[in-house]
Amino acid sequence: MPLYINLTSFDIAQAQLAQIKVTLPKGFVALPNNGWQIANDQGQQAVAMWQLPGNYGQNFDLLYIKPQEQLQAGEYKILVEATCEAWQLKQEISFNYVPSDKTMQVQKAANVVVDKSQYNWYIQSVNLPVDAQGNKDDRAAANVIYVRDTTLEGFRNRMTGDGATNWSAVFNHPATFVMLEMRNPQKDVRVLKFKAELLDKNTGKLVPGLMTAGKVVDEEGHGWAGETGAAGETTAMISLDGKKNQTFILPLYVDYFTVLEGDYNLRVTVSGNGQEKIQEVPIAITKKHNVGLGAVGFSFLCALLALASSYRLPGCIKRIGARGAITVALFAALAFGGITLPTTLLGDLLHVFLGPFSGLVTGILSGVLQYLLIVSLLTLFRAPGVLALMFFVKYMLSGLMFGHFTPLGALSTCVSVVVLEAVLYLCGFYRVQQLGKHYMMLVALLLGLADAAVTFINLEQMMFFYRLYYADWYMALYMLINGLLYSSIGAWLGFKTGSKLQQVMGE
Amino acid sequence: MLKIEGFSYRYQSRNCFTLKNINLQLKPGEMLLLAGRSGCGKSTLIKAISGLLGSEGAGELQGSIYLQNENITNWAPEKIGQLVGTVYQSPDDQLFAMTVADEVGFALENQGLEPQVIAREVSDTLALVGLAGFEDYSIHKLSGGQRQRLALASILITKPRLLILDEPVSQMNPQGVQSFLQLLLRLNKEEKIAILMIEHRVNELYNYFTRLAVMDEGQIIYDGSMAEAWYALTARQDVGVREPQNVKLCRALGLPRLTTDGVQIVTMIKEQHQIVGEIKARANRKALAPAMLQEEVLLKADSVTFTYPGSKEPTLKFLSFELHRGEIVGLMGFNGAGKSTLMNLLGGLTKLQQGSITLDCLPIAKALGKIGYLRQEPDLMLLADTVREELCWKNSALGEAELQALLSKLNLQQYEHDFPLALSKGQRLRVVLGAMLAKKPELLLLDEPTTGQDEQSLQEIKQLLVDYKEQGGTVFICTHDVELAAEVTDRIIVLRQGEIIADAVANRVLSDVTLLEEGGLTPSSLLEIAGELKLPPCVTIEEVQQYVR
Amino acid sequence: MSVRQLWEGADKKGWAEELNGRTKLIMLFLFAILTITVDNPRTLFLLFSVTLLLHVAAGTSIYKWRVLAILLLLGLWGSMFSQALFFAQTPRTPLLTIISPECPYLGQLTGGLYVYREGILYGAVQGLRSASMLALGLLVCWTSDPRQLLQALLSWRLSPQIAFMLVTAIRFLPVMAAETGEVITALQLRSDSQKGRSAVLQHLPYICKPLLARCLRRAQTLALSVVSRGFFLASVGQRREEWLLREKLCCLVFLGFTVAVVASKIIYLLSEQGLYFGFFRIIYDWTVLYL
Repeated sequence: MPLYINLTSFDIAQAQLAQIKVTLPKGFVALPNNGWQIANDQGQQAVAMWQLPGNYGQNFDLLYIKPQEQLQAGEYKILVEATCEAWQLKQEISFNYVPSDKTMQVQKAANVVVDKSQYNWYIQSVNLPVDAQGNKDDRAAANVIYVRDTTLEGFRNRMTGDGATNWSAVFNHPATFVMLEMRNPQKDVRVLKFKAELLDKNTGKLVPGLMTAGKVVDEEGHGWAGETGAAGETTAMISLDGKKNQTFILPLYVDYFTVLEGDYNLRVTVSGNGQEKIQEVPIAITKKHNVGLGAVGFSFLCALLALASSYRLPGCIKRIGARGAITVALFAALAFGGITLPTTLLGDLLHVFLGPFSGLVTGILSGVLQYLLIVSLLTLFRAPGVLALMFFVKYMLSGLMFGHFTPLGALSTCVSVVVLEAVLYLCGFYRVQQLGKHYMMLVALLLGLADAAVTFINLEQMMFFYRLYYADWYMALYMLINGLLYSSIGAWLGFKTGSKLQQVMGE
Repeated sequence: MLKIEGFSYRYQSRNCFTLKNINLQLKPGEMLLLAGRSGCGKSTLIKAISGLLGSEGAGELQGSIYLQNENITNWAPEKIGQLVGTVYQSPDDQLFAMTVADEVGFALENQGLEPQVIAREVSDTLALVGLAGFEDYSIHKLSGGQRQRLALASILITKPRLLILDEPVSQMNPQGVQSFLQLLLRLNKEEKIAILMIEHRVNELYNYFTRLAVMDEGQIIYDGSMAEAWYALTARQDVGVREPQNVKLCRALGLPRLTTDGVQIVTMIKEQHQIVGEIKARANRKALAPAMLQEEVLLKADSVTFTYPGSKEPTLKFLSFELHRGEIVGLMGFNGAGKSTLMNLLGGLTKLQQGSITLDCLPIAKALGKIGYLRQEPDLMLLADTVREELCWKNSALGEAELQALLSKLNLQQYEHDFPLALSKGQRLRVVLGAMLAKKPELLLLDEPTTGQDEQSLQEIKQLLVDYKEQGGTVFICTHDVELAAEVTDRIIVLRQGEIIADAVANRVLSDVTLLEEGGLTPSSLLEIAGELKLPPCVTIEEVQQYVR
Repeated sequence: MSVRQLWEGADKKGWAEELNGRTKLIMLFLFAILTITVDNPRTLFLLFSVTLLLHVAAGTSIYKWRVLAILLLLGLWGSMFSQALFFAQTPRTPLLTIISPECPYLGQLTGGLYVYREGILYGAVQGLRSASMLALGLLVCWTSDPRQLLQALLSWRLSPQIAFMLVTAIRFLPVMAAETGEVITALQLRSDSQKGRSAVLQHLPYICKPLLARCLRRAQTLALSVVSRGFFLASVGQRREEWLLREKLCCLVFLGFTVAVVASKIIYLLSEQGLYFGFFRIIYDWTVLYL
């Protein structure tokens, strides 16, 4: 098996010469390879001299090591030392060795039948990401796979009962291509199987994330449209054509729905005719947060809209009069005292016990009470801008009293104002003569839906700005309970309360 | 100064006129008291004078209002605000700023004056109302009386020539009223400001005004001298004016003249009536307090002491007293004497620290279901959507027949399905009281129930309490109103600095002038008359009648 | 110290109290932008430490330190708790299974719910963002009178009517809090059982009505009062407080720094997407190392 060593230089303009010394544990021997010298008799030490390019330049190579026969399974350690004029680095690599049945069988079969010298092909290098032609974009970070954001699709699939992965809707293109360089000194001609798997960086265990295309759509070339062949790995067949060096460009299919961001080892296995060559490359998978970016973009758009319309607020105050303005201020104060204050203080306490689900309790205030106040206020003073005024005063109160002048708070306020005002305007709330029960039920439902959308955008913003993670089912739960349910109930109660309060208004 | 000519107004949402052909004049520097029951149109009249009816939507308006000979009927309120200042009922609700200086300077700031000018004017105005040096005080730190003065200062800063005050003293205790009225008198005399005060507590204000106008159903039914007003009101006892006790006495005894002057009353009684013998009077006095004879202990407080956390001095010190079944007991005393703390302890809202309180031999904490507690702000106790729901709230035992009987007793039958919070002040109080009574409590705790109530509402509440008492209920009522206490209570407990300084029959307590003054209360004017007539102390008209034939 | 005093500005006059409201608000806002721009845990911790140092320099009282500590710990705990459950990066090590993927319904819906070791650490690091903002927000809150901040907003041409609404809201906050307490007391008094006495959330709509009715009555009275006093006459920008040159300069420098940080981050993020320019190399290095 190969030991992959990758060394990154420092922020120094000049190239440096470094000695790489690998000390293997007892029971393992290093096999001779280009550039490596076996330093002691037992073959347990290998030394190479590397030229490290300047400015974070990288150098890497493979050292093939072999376990001795009958070696016991267990934990072993490899010591890698890099020594230069100015510095010295040491790293100890701990690993578990477990001889598999398959390996044993292969070994036994090889001992009997195969003449190894006839088939001495091996993996020279694995590079990614590259494009379909094998071109590497120097500007793209090496060994990083960017995968598309599937939050919305995942959410939709769960809602429609298709499970987390709806294959046919998603896989049209591979996530990236891998450039596999094979050395074939014996000029063998053979079909080999290529397999790529993701390994957990800490435990070395196989983790899900890669896929295999089961059926290729011929017209589009690369691609996938049908049932999967194997889960957890990308497989392909490659054909050695008898040249000493051969390069293969292979598509790597990623299961967008199950793959997680983070660091992995990509294990590439090429096997055929009883032989198996493995190389592991450290890679990182990074998700493009398109939905988060979209949510933030939408928020900024809302902020711009709110800002552009803010000049109308004094006009709204004139329209509702001093009594209306004071009522809005007092309702906002109630909203601040009854929602912001307890959710800030009690919410934190509830967090201790309920964790992220505390919001479902505090949501009674931020959902039911908030919409009760909004709709009862709107029932009393039905004019565009009243809602915006209330949200604005509440946000400012939170800033003046708590110092909560956060950009995220401002964006959330703008989103709520724009979305809710738009919904109210579109459903004709400001135009209908009489607010009937059935009509208000519809309005309550629409406000609930609007709040669900606002909840989604707010959570996405939180994830984007604060780099937090929330599961899509958790977001759906919040949208459903805090958004739709609580807000609709609150809006309906608000209508009933507002209707009663109209009698208190008098003349 | 002010001249209202044939002024009528109808709100857009109403069919009939709220103000009907109002004619009223006020000379510069004159003081006028305008009385009338709740909903008679007084507030609309204030709005009309202040130019605020225009902001209420397009109602129908007839007639004209002149101020300093200029027709202001269609002026903007801001412009009128330079000439007329209005102070509304609850001072707390008309102060919006965080500091005294900001509040007072608001009107001048809006006029765009320089900050230095504003600061100077603010200081001068504050000095005028007795709040010099309070500029940087937070409004939350001011007492009720100081807030009322601040509300006045915020109006006076624009130097108005006419001051309108809408029930400014309705929430004040008697001593606060005296002090505020003294201030108004000084403003009237020194600054020559005309004053139009709207208030139904005529019994406490008649000394300060020479002219009274009375409104009823949007019309002015009387406008003349205070001394002559009582004759005009003889046939109109329904207009909600709370007359002075002396006038009521004149009426009750059928004296030829209705007057507030004690000396004249004494003379008339001496001339036309006979003083009854002492023995007969004593016999009658016993009949006045029948509950005392029963002596069945309902509540027993023993050595109750209470100290608020962080306070060095206890608020209540070793209080021991009893309440008997079928008795109405008054609780009186200065602000800060510990009355509310005691009420909260009895109502189970505050945990007992030391001593014991038992109700029907049960510790108070276990007998809370037997207690009804009506707090100072009944509006905040109204929780339901209809009067009916309010009375039945958490009370499944109340049957339909009982509910109807209760509604009838509360005089609320026609409001059964109305939203309680939209009713008039008196009706709202009766709904809460009704909700308490519907649970048939053994003890009813009432904290200042009559604050701001007009005469008619007051009479209805008195009747409810008496009925409840006759059914064996016990009432513990905290009040500043000496006249009410004299009329309904059997016994009075007076608190001072957490200690009971008197616990005796109502008549005995209310006739002790020194004690009343110590407790911050105003003695009844009847005491003086009884004294002149050499009668035993009398605090109610009925008591005087016992001695006079 | 009462809860109300906790949220009120201090009476003492230190450097923090004497800073202009505009300076405080600008610094607060820029700092918030900085915290959401930075990813590097060490820099995040540095920013957080800066806020704590500012508290030390401003002489925050022991009592307020305790409150700050509780709020910070609760906030951090909240972030750690949520990220422990939802951490979606590898490697991740499950410490505890809350819902097994095999669990009917919930397991299928959630795909399993675990507590991840790496998530706890990640949550703590990411929680530093909100912790920094909370700490600085409280510093501004504790060293400022709301009027001081309001003056700042007024000097930025906030409509005087809206400023009036804000002042009114602040003025009546404690009053309404007391009234809410009174309504809850009424609810207790009118309940037929001990359980009903504490069922506040269940009676939320009932609690609201008297409070809102009181608001309407109050609004009516106050409106009458302020309209007469020229509520609608007020125009923008009547009162200005002096803003010292050195404070302005500080704000400018901090603004420049924040803009530089944000620009660096954007340039770096663009490079990740392929918009790479050699002459920005030093910016890329700087961003990778510190941001």
